[in-house]
Amino acid sequence: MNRIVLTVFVVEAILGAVGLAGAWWFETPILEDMRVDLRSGAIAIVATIPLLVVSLSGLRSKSGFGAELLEVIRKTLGKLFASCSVIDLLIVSIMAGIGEELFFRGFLQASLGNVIHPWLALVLVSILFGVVHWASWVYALAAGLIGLFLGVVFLVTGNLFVAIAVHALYDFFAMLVIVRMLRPLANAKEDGTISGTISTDQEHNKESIQ
Amino acid sequence: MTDTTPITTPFTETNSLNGTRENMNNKKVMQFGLLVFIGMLIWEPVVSNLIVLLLPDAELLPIYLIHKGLFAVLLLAVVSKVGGLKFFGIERGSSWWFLVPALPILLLTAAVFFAPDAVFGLSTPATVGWIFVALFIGIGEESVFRGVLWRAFEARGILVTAFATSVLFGAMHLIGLLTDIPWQIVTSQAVFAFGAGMMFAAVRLASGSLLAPIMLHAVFDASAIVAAGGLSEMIDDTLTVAHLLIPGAVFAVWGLVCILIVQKRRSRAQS
Repeated sequence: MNRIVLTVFVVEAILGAVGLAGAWWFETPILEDMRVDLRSGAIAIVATIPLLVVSLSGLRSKSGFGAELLEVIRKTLGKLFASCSVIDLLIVSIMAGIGEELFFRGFLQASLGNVIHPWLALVLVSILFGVVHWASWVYALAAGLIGLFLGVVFLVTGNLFVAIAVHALYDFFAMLVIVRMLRPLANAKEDGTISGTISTDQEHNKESIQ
Repeated sequence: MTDTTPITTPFTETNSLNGTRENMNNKKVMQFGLLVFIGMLIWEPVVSNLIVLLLPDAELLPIYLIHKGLFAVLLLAVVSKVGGLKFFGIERGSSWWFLVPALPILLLTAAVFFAPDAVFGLSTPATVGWIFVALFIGIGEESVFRGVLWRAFEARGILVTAFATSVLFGAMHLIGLLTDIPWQIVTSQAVFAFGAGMMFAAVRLASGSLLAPIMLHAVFDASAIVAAGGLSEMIDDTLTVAHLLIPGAVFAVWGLVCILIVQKRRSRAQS
């Protein structure tokens, strides 16, 4: 297995384990309230669409914010996941969904929400979610906003499965698009030309799918 | 169903399950537990040698399928006749929180796939066969230790039950001393089994059902066998004493902590 995928897998598994154990310790009933059914899946898909549309159109726009964000992603995530196949991206997304949602929404937000006002807990955890994603201030802001959206989804549905599914679906499609957006850029930098991008891009795709 | 008068032995007081049979009092369960444990100790070496005697050319997989499969089926038949499957814990669980006591074995199961010597060199039929063997092992061992023996010790309290069944579970693995596996490996396997027993006890307690430990036991065994490329490949030079003792110690401590937490919560809920 790809070493980056393995690292992500281990980190997310530990994060999920800590979140699960923490929720158990504080007797937060996230598992009792979790419902895995078609309705929750449908809600998750519907909730993912606006998130994807807003964030990807923001990235594609040539405005300062989107361009800066893309540049940060190119430097960090892009390099890491450029060599990943579609299956690798799928594993990473699912693990990120389960691990991060169990920890941030399931454990932190829900447990804190029992002590202070749930909406205050939502804001605090979203800020924390943004801060731990610190690659630059733009990236942290974007992550914080996505965390806020996931927190609202969890708070409104009360079902952690919806949050996990939205997180996994969003991560998967966003990474798929971003990796494809960045590939021509990366190839152009390596070749020094732009003419060869299409063929090398296809080569890349073939390789990574295998 | 306990729709008749409640039985006032300490045994029935501690069990919250509704599968109680009137004809199973504490003494009978103890006797049945002893019988099943001794039966298992005899079954393990005798029947496997008997199969080898009858089928001298058979490979390891069919021998194990017959050996473990027959034990699981016979045990379930006897258990359902004697006290009822539900009485010994084979029923729908009450909670998914057993995932927390199960965390160490879930992480170890994942780690098995990333082990440097994981080769996955089995054909598809062999893989399916070994998965069934793992399932039979899970059903057989869990029904004996977390099912029948669990009920036998239950009157003495949660901690005593967990500790006693785990010690017996570890002791059962000393049967390996009869084979040509190095004694250091066998004794560390027994320690590993003791730790796993403590953790499965916590899982059994948190889930309220025997199905959770059966599932975890089977999934772990299946992953370990399939990743190694067959049971005979599992015990080789790369398996050292530390590979068994360290996880065993982690399992035991984690299991004990989880049992104590569950026990404390139960006593608080009662008062």
